[in-house]
Amino acid sequence: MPYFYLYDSYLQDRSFASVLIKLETTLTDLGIQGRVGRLTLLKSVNDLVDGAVRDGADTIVAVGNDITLSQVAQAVIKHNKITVGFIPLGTQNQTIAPLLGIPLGILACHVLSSRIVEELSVGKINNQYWLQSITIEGSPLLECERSYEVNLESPHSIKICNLDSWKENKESLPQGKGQLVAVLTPARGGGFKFFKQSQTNASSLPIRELKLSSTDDELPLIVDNYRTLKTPAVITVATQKLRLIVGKKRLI
Amino acid sequence: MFKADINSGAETLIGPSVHVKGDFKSQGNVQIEGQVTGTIQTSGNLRIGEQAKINANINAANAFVAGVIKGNVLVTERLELSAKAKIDGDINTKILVIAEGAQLNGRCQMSGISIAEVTAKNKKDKALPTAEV
Repeated sequence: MPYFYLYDSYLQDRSFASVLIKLETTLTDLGIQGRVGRLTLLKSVNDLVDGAVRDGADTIVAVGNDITLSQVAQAVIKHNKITVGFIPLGTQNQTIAPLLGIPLGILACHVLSSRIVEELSVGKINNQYWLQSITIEGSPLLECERSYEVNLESPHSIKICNLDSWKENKESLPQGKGQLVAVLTPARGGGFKFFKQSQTNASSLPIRELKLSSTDDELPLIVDNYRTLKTPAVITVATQKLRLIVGKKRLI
Repeated sequence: MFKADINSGAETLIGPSVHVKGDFKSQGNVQIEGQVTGTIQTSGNLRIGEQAKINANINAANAFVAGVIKGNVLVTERLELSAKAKIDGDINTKILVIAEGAQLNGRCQMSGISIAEVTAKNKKDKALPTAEV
């Protein structure tokens, strides 16, 4: 079962050197070592994943954070029968790992070794795939399921979740299972913070298809916390599923 | 008890700052605190909060109403109207609970219609051409 490990560029920092040595030793001990590719300015995720699949890898492991996993998912989804693993390293942008039941750091190697595979749904925005969530601020017009519209009386912070938790207490909604959840939180001015959000007045709508448009200027959409697109946009659940290695303590 | 049941596990929540227009359908529990214009249909429980303003025909398995509804309400099991509820329209349900102070301006029928019958009735209503009198 050939593994390919894709290291995010931030892992080149010297502070991660000893963790990476331990990681590689643990993977060898568990018998799941494989080729390593490192993201650089000259090597994109798509280049690395396409190359690995061409060389026969059937498990691509994202080593990094939520953004690394989202990028790998987007690159892998076009290939058939490829399984994705995840080793979360570092402490920033690590919200997906707890949902998948994957511990931070070296312990994630044991989850990888156990190889419990779940098929999770992936979102699609226009013609691009996304994994975690999409956020937008303002008062866009939302057309849901081609049957009803949602009008917002004031600016809102809108989050469309596929694999994300939205409540402060980290309570997760049914996710990654073929349905998206749109969470609409009214934004209120106050203090030094322009958008002070009121969680109590939030709305949540389970959806499968959503069309976002704006009457005035184009509004920016932040996709998976690293890409920016603009309205109008059609958001759906992709027909393809992502095969992902998860832990026993997964919340999804 | 009923209130608590409906409050917990509402998969769809329409907050007070939101206005929904059109045919809203759900398979799960729905809680509405905002405005809805059109139709509401759910095979789960429906809770309409005090601030809610509904201008729609409603179909649900169970419903708890504390807000204002202009439209017909069809509930297959149990309909509960709180003291602040106001319905301008006909209601059809199997079990009806009305608190003191609730307003109901319309006909009340307690026939206990089944979900299958509701679906068939909706299809029939859509198929029939509307005639103005």
